Amino acid sequence: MINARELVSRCLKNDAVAQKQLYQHFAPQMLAVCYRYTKDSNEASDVLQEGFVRMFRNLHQWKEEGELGAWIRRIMINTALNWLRSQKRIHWLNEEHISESYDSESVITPVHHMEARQLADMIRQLPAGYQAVFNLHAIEGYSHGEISKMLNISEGTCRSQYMRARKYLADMIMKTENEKQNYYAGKQ
Amino acid sequence: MPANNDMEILMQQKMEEFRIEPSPADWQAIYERLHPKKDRRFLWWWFPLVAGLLFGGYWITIQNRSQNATTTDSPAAISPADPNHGIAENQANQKKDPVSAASASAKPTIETSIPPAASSIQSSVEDEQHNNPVHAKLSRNTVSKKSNHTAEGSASDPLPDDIPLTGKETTEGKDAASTMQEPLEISPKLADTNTAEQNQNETAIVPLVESRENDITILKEENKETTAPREKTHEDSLTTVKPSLEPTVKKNSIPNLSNHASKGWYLGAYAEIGSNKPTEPISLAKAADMNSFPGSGNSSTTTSAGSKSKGLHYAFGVALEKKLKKMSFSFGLGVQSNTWSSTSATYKDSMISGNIFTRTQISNNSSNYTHIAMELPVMLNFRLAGKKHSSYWFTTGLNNLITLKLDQKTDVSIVQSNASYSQDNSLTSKASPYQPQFRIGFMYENTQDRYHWQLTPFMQYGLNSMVKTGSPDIQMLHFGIQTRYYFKKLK
Repeated sequence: MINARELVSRCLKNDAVAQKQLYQHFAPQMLAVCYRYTKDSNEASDVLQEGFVRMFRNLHQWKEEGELGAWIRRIMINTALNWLRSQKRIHWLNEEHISESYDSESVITPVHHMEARQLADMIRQLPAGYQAVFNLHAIEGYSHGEISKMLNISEGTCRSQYMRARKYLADMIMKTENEKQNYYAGKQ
Repeated sequence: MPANNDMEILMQQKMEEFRIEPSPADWQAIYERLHPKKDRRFLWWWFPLVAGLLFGGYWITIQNRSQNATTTDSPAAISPADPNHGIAENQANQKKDPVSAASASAKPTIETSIPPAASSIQSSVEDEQHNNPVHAKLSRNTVSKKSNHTAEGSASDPLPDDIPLTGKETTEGKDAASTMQEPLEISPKLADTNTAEQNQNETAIVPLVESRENDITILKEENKETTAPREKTHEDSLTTVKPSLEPTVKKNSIPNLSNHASKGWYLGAYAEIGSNKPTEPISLAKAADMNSFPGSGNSSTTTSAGSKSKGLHYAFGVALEKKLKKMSFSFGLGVQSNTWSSTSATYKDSMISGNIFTRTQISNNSSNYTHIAMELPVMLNFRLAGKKHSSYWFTTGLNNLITLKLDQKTDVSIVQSNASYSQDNSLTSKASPYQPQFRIGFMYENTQDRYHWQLTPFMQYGLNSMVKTGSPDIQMLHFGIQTRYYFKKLK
């Protein structure tokens, strides 16, 4: 395990070896985060690089009480959202008045059968707006209020986007699971 | 607040475990942005060289323009090699044609503006006349025509006995008065095209090296003056004498807008500088990296991770160019040098459980490569736009490289033991002997009377691997700028 404080103090002195150690420790986890917010591997790499550069340049702002990994993760998420904005892929619709007819609690999705990579790939197939809201709410754990501020949208829009994203994803998971069952049934 | 149901909780758990190993190139990109010193140094080398090339081309253009301006501005002051030339003209004109005489007398400065060099040439010609009658006649006729222009003077010059004249030559006499008018027509031409130095060359050398046939023609004219009255027209007499008065230096023709075609080939030289960038840093490292997926359990694997690299590219050589209607074709022979460096690191990955592993760096390797090749560029240029002297072209073609030498110098540092060593390797036997490189660029061309030069920013991509290995290829990508200077037209 790494000693975060010592490593950070060396990184603040622009020590390339320490920077590389810090990068090597957190990069696999952070690349997985970037992967969920982007559409292909090259984009994920770009966001990862930008995020780490921002992190090293703002490392003096890290407060030692907090967990370093969580702080870096927040930087990565902000970088990914900035990147999404710069790409202008998200076109928000004012969906505050759309009724939430979809009852999320009633749907049983076989998530436990799926591999992490498989789930991440499905999240990437969501439309850009759904993808961002779903990642922020379901995976990162931000509230709709926090997300609405981060994405500069209304809370109602955020909720409806999340519900649609969840339904979209659940349908994909069910479809994949059915295909898998049909495949094995056909073999038998 | 996180969503509170099975799907969200399960997905959070799955995503917490999710890891993706980044590519070594990602760290290299981050490192270069955090420590950008090397890039600055690299650019620092670039700009003075490019500026030097541009300034050199501009300077040559300015030099040539000022030279042309000097030659054409005051023909009378530079060209006449014979100080009596103007006097002879005036005398002849006064006798023959009062109107012409009046216009000739409006040029009073001809005699006074003769440069000292021209006077000395004239005196040397006169000396020569005393010593060698044959050459003296030739010189007189070619340069000053003093005897001819004084009407009676030429009639008294003796004709050498050893040069026979044909019946035709003797019967076609030439009107002395008409001969006297010749300099009025031809002397501006002489002044326009020849400098004092060139006149000197013509005075001393041209009559001696002219063909025998020309000599006879010139001598024949003098003989005619003594034997028969001149009845021919002014144009006829000009036609007879013209060959000996053509400028001895051939100019390159300036092409017009619709047709750049030239009969001959232009000979020139070129030089270029640029950057090169291998598409893969080291194929061995890349191959190892591609196969370094960690196994399960407490196993350990060794991973070699290469980093991006770049270097410099120089070339120079000679070229031949053929101008076609709206395009041109060129080929050349030259030498190209490429240098580049790459770094790689070796790691030991020890698996702990599942997707968790620890990575320990074992060594750092830094390699510097030097590649020297003979190059045979074959290029096609297509004219896009431009004016008479300046034009813009699209250029494309193959630069065929034949490897002469590929050397590698490697510095290895062992991280744990703090030791390091260096090693020199010759990779010539592993290098591909033939490496065609596809090149495209945009060319600016400046065309002058006696030369044309070109400036071409280009991109070049190797179509064949630099090193013969089974692992991923190393293709070279070049960005650079080339200047070509064509100075001679071959027949």
